[in-house]
Amino acid sequence: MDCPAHIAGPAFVKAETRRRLTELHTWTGLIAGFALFIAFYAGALSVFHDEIDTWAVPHPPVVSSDLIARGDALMAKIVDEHPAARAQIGMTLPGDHPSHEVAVYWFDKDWHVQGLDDAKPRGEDDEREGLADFVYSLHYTLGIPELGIYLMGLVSIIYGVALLSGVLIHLPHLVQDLFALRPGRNLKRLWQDAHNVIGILSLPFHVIFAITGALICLMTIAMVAFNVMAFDGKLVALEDSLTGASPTITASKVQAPMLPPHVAVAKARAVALASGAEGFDPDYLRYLQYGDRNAAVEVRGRSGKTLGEYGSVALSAVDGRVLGVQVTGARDANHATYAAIFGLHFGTFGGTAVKWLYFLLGLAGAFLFYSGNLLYIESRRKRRSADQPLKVRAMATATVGLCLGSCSAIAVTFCANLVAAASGFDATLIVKPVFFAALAAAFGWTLWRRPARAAVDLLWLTAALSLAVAIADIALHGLRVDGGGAALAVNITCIGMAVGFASLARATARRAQSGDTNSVWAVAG
Amino acid sequence: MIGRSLAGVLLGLTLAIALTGLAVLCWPGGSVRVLVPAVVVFFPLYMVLILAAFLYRTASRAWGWMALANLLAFAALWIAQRTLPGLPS
Repeated sequence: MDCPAHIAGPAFVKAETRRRLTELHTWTGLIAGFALFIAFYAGALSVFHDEIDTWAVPHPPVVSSDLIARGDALMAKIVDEHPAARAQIGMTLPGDHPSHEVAVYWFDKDWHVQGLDDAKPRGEDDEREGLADFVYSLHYTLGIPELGIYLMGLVSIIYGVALLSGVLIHLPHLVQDLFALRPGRNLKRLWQDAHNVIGILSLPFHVIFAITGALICLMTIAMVAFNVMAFDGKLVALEDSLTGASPTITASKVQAPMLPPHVAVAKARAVALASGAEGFDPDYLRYLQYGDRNAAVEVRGRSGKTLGEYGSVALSAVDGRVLGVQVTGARDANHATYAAIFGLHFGTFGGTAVKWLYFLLGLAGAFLFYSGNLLYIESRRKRRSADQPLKVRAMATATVGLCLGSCSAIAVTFCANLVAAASGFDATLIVKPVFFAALAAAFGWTLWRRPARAAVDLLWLTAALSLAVAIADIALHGLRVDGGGAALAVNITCIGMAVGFASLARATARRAQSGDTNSVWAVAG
Repeated sequence: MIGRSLAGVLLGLTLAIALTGLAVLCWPGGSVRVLVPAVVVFFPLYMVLILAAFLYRTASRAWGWMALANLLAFAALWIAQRTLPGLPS
C-alpha cells in the first residue's frame, strides 16, 4: 500500500519512517495475507463447527449409556498391553454432535488414539476427518499435516506486525479514515477507504486473533524456549500444573483399583458446582499413574458465564479425595489466562449472538486481506497501458486463484459431502482430496481464463453451489428442524452466502465490462 | 529491509524472552503464579520489537541498539537467576 497522498497534517512518525512502515505493512500483508484469508474464511465457518457436523452427518448422535463403561474397559485393556500408558491415559466423553468420537488417548513415546470401535490404535495424525473437522483443520493448518500448525503460528506473528505497522501508518488520521468511504472514479481510494474502515473497526478483534492465534499454535515451542533461556530448565516439570488441576503425581508402585470414569465425572461436577462454577459440562478425563495407589483422575469441563469456559477438577483415583480445583471462580491467574486464550479465540463466552459476531467479523477479516491484495494491484497499475506489469498480473492470479479458489473449493467440498453421505459412501475418505483437487482446478482455471474472467466464474460457481447444496439437502432430508434446527440454520446460511457471492460476482462482472480497460480486471483489455 | 527484518526477528525474539523471563523472576509474591500471563505478554512484545527494528534510521543502528538491549537484559536475567528464588525445582 502506498502512502495516501491526500492526507496532510501533523505526522505521528517522520515521513521516511512512515514510508518504511508502509513497505513493512505491504510485505507482511503479502506474505501472510493468503494464509490469513483461508484461515479467516475457514475459521468463520468453524464458529459453527458442531452445526456443520450435524448438517454433514445426517444421523443422530449415538446416545448410549454404556459408552463411558466401554471407554473404561478399553483403558484397562490398553494399560495391560502398554504399561507405559499408565503415566497418562485419558478418554473423551460422549458429546452431542454426530462425528464426535469417544476415544482413548495415551502417551507412550508419542500420543496414540483408539476409538471404541477401532480394532487397534492409530497415530494422532491419521485421524480421518469429516467435513466440519476438515474445515476446522484447514483453519489452523491450511491442510498441511504436522508442520501446518507451526506455519500458522508464524503467520500469526507476521499478522501482528502487519497490524501494528498498519495502525502506526494510520494513527495520525484514524478518525478521519474511519468516516471516509469515497465511492467514485478513484478506485484505489475506494479500496483504500474500505480497507481502512474494516481494519480500524475490527482492530480489537484482529489484535485478539494475532495474539491468541500465535499462542495456540506456538505455546509449546515458546515454553521450550523459556525453559532453556530463562528458567534453568525448571519450567518443564511445572508445565502440566499450569494448565491442569492435578498436582504432580509420583507412583507408589502399590496397585489399587481405579475409580470408574462415571463416578469421577459425577464427583467432579459436584465439586465444580460447589466451588462456584456456573454449570460444569465434562468433555475429557485422564488418569495419571493409572492403577497406582497414588493415582489421580482429572476431569475437564465447560462452565458458563465466564470468558474462559474450560476448567478442571482433580481427584484421587482411588478414594475420590479432591486434589485440586481449577474452575471459574476458584482458579489462579495461570488457569484463568489459559482458559481465556481459548474462550477469546473460539468465541465461546457469549452464546449465539457472539458466535454470529465472530462469523461476520471472520468474513470481514477475509475481506480485509482480499482488499489488501486488490490495493497492492491497484497501486501498481499502469494507467496508460492495457498491458500490466508481471508482478501485478501474478498478484491478481494468485489472489483470485487462492482466495476465491478456496471459497469455491469449500463449496465443492460441501456438495461432495452431501453426495457421498446420500449415496452411503464414507465422506471422511473424500473431503480432503476433493478440496485440494477443486482448489487446484480453480487455480488452473484462473491461469487459463485470466483473473478478470476467472474471478467472475469462481464467484458465480461458489454462489451456485452454495444455493444448490442447501436446496439439495432440503430436498433429501426435509427442513430438519430437529436438534435445535442446526442443520436448517446451516442451509439458510448457505442460501445467504449464495446471495452474497452472487452480488460480488455481479459487481466484478460489471467492473470487467465497463470499468477502466487499463487494468488486470478488465475483460476487453 | 532484510537487515532490519533479521534484527527484529532474531534479536527481538531473544530480547522478548529475556524481558518476560526477567519480569517473571522479579514478580512480587512468586514467579510460578504469572507464568502463563507472561507467555501471553511475550507474543505481542515480540511483535512490537520486530516493528521497532523498522523505526531506526539505519539497519546497523537497529542491530546496534537491539544487541545492546539484549546484552543488558540477559545480564539482568543472569543476576536475577542467581539472586532471586526463581522457579521451584
